[in-house]
Amino acid sequence: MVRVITVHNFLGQNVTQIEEPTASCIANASGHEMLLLALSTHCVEVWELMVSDIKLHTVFPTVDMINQMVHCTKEDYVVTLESKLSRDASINNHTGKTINNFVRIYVNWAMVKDQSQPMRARIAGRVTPSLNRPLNSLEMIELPLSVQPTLIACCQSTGNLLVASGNSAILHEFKIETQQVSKMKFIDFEARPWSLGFSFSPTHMEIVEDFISIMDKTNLCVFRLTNSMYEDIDQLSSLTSTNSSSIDKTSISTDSSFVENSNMANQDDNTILQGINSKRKSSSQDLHFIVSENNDSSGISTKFKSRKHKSSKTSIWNKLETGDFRKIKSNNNDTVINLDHLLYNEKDELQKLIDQEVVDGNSQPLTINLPSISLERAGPGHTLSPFILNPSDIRIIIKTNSPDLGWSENYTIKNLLSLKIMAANNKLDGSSELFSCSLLKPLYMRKECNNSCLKKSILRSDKYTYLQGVSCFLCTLQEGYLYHFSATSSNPTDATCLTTYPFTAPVNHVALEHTALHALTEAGLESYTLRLSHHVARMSNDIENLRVTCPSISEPVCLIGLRPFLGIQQLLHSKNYLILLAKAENSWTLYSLILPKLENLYYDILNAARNHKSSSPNTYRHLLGEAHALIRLAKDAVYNCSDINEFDDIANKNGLKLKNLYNQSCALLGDYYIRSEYESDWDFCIPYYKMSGLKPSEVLSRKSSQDAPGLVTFLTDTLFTMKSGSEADALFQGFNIVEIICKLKKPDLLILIFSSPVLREYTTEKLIHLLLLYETDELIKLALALLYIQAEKQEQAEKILEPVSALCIKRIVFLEYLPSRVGRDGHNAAMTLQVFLEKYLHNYFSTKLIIDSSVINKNQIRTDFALVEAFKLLVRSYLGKLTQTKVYKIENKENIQENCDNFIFMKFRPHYLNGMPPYAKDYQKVLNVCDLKDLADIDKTDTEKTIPMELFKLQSVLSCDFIPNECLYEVKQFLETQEIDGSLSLKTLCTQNTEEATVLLMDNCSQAVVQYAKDMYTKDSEWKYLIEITQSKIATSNSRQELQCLYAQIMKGILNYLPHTLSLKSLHRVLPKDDVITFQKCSEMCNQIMHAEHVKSLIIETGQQLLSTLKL
Amino acid sequence: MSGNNSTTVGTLRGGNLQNRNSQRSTLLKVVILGDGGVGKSCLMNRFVSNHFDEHSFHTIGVEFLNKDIEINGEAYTLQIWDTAGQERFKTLRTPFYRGSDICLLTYAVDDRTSFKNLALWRSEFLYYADVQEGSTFPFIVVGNKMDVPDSEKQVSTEEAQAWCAENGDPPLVETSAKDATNVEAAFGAAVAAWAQLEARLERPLVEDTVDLSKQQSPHRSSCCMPVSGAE
Repeated sequence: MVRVITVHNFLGQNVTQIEEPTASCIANASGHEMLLLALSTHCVEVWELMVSDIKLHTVFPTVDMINQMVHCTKEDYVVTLESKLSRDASINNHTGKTINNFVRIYVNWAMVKDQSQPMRARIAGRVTPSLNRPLNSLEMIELPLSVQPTLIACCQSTGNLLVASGNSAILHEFKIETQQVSKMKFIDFEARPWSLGFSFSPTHMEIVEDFISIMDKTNLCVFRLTNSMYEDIDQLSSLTSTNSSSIDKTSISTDSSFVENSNMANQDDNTILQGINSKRKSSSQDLHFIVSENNDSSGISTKFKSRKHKSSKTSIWNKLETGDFRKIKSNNNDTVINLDHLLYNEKDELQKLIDQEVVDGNSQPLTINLPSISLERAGPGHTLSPFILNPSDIRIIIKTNSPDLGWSENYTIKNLLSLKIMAANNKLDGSSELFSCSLLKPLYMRKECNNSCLKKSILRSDKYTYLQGVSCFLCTLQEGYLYHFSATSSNPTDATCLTTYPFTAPVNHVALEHTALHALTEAGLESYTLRLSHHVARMSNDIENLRVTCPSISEPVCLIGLRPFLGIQQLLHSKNYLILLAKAENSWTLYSLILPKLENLYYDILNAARNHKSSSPNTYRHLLGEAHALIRLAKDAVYNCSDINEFDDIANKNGLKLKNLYNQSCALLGDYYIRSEYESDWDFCIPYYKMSGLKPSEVLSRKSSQDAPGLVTFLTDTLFTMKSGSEADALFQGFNIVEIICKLKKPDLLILIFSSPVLREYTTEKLIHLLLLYETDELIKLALALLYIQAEKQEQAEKILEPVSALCIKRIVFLEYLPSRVGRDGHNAAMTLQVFLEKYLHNYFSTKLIIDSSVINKNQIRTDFALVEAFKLLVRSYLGKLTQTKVYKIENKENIQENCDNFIFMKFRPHYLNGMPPYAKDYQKVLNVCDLKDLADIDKTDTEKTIPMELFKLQSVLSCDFIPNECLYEVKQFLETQEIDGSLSLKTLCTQNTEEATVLLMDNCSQAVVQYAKDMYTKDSEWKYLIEITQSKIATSNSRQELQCLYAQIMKGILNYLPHTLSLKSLHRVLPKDDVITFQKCSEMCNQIMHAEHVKSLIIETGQQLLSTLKL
Repeated sequence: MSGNNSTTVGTLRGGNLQNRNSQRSTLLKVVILGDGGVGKSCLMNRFVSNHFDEHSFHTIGVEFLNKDIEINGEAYTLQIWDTAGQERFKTLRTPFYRGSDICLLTYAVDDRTSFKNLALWRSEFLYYADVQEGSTFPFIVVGNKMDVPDSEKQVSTEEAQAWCAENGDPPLVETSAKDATNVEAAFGAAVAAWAQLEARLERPLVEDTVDLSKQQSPHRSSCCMPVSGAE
């Protein structure tokens, strides 16, 4: 559905007559917006677009006739695809005149005033010294091409050129070179040694940073050129598994991919998927279900592997995509995912799969996108999808000429979206469906929004960190589809069609702003609202801690403008103008339409919304949402990447203006929701008011919130989080809060009283009065007691508390109350708190921990606000205790021992901690001592001191694998500034990076390294690393014998242990290759152990057999 | 000297941007070749902007200018490519020979070596321009600096004509960029030579084709046509 509301009003238009252009483009150079028209008379007319006028700025000559022309904002050049009819060939064959195409770049094109100034010409890559020339003179650079170029694309941010020739394309890297003699800078282009091979010859191609789109009438593909050299190791693994293509070192070789899936015919819709083949660990994103193909464990060694699955015609079910399947251990046919069971009895079936270790129980929630779901997401959102998603015959590959001449420079292709028009999709009138146009548009934000570009890649600009993502708009004959790909997304299968636009007539051209879409159809110019803002807001929700919301992405878009134009041949879009080129018989007309400013559009939508406010509240909200979304993205985004660091007055003023409008739109949405007649709506007013920047008191003084149905909801939320201070002062002084909240139901009111310290503080007496009106049950009494304490009426508090059972206090209230009391009480209170928390957590976990710690759902704990707070408080409390070095209460040693033994988290505490100070002697200190007297002192201090049990407990708590990360972080931060006993041990617990901890221990407490490794290591690579650093320690400590001896001991310890834990294969991987003799003993030991194990099992087996015979 | 007797050369493109003629014109790529210092850039500047600079620099690499002219009522855009004559610039200039329509082989009448090198220039051009049949390509031989005193002349007109006769008979024009003598004539001759060649190439096309849409003469009474209308 599309809502029609004509609010998009152009601010004006300028019209002029032009000659018929052979090509056209928009140029945005040094603040001027220009329209470039290439004429058949071998020149380019440069028209300057202005609000008041449109005038011919200059004309520059071109070598040949231009077929395609693009201006590049980066370094301000114009690139053209030109063609020349060759006369040479006509001598013998006059009917077949050949056309030669060229790619040429024009520099300083806007400066030309004087036509008699010659144009300097050079070939890219060949330096031309220009000493005798004035600066900034007109220059032409021709790309040396060995093939006939057919299409060009230019990245506005990097300046890179992509030149296609038929079904392949070569990237020409943009460079700024310096001439050696004169130090003069000049631009240049260098062809990369690889090329892209397509399965079709595109008629349209675009490049934006590392995103590329290609299209012809029936095929469309959007992909990314990624380079594993520039990616983090983590991403690397996911890349290798999700490449839809291969690196082909020689040529496009024949592909045997269809063979593999030929035995897949026995499938129907609810096929039981069996034979889960894990492709090592790297398949965390792709899970391939292949019937009767059992042995895929060789992984992705063959280049075509991943593509094979996509290219299968019957592979609808053979690909299960999920971002959450982590551990896939099972590799046999017994493991079956039964979709029916999963559908109707999700819980049990999931548990079964977890038990079978098919899926990781820790990764909740679990999302599985079967291909049909992917298609649905990528499709138009109605049932008549004109596409095939990921068709088998669309392929992109990277080609190199020969192994010697070129290489891929480690580039790989990451397919984002490939669509094919369904062959059967012929329209009723007999015409077949086709892709009419597509465009790619980057979304750069004002602030950095991704950090994926740590190293420089030729495909990524220096503004890459500001790139939120790239939008892709594509059109079939009469429908448009908007997609958006995040720059950071690691999951390439998430192509989602954000919106489908049913145009009123067949569409010829589209122009995309960040806030609106303009489509040139046979009916005229149609303008629509977008869902890009919604999508971006939704994506960034996870990042910000603030609870934010945005209008639903599924709300119908609005047709905000529909203007008839006749004979329009071309639509172009600049920052402030829409350009239409119209043809009528033999004359051409240029229309320059001045786009409305954002605030104009915002107010126009707002006014339209107001007309519906009383008659149709839903329409009002819808339009308000449109206005809000418009401003929301506009305030954060920039038009193009060159605007990012624009900090002038105008930019600032404009930014401020947008921010104000945004705040206003949030407030209006808040107003709508707080006044809504539906209770379910009220919650929405909270985030919107927060986003509006209004203080709670300001919200309450708004006209809309007076007696609003959702006011109490809003106020409750406010009081939960509010701290005493000026904001609270304003709120409580300005309004009778108790009067408002007394409308709450009793239990809700009590919860509010227990959890809101500001409420208790500011309205103590009023609340007491209010509560006294209620029938007094235990909870009311408890609340009253609290309030009496607040009012410093201890006696009354005690009196009313007497009959209240302890259980009630503990179970129901304490955790609500606790967080509100943090940081106010003294030492004793802290102790109580600590004991309470320990008890509470003990109760909480005792049942679960006794059974199995793996049952505990980490995520559930980490998202439980109260539990996280409890952990944090407990950890803080321990730390607080440990800092009080001087006032250790002498406690009975046995007492401590008993206390520790009963501690619920004890079992998590790794053994190596006992080998570290203060539980063991600090040998490192001993080693570092120079004077014998000091040595005696060390000995003395170490033995006399009692170790506080808090350290033991803290160590245990930190060792739990479900401890919230915030705790670890807090401890880490704390230790950076404070020195306490056992700091080092705590530091090793806080870092989750074992290598870091290993180094820390090796340097400061090498005695515990081996035990640490035994306790904590899970991977072979960790052992390998440990051996490496031990070796280097031995090598570097040859001046100090005692140290060398120590390290040698460590090495011995490692080598003695390893054979017991690793397989021979792993052992060989771990042990250094260079010194075979040293490690030979270790290998032998491993062999012996394995042998011994084997013998042992044989003996047991034989023994059992013997036993069973005896019984007979 | 030949070729310029029947041509009228008019300049169309001036400095005024707005006043451009929108009439469709034929673009001809003209490459000027010749030894360094024979006056290639001066010829171009004289022709395009009617301007002469006694102390102009060496050309480095390649430059080009577009100039609209009218010859025999036909509009042409001459795209004149000025090249650097020095050997060290060879790699910079040769890539631009491709697609040329006309080549001006230039020497200075007071520089015998430059005249001797004409053959080299011709073969360099044919090689890099990838022209299949050299003999039919429209070359023009231009002897510049005819303003120098006779005593300093090292190449006579007769000698030059003889060279032309042996090398495919291109038109010869002796010019002086300094005095503006014959400069326009040289370019005019170049275009004429091109047009002549082009016409020869096009003609078979016309003769082979029967125009079915041609209206029959109303006076036609028999199958025999009068010969008066035929060429």
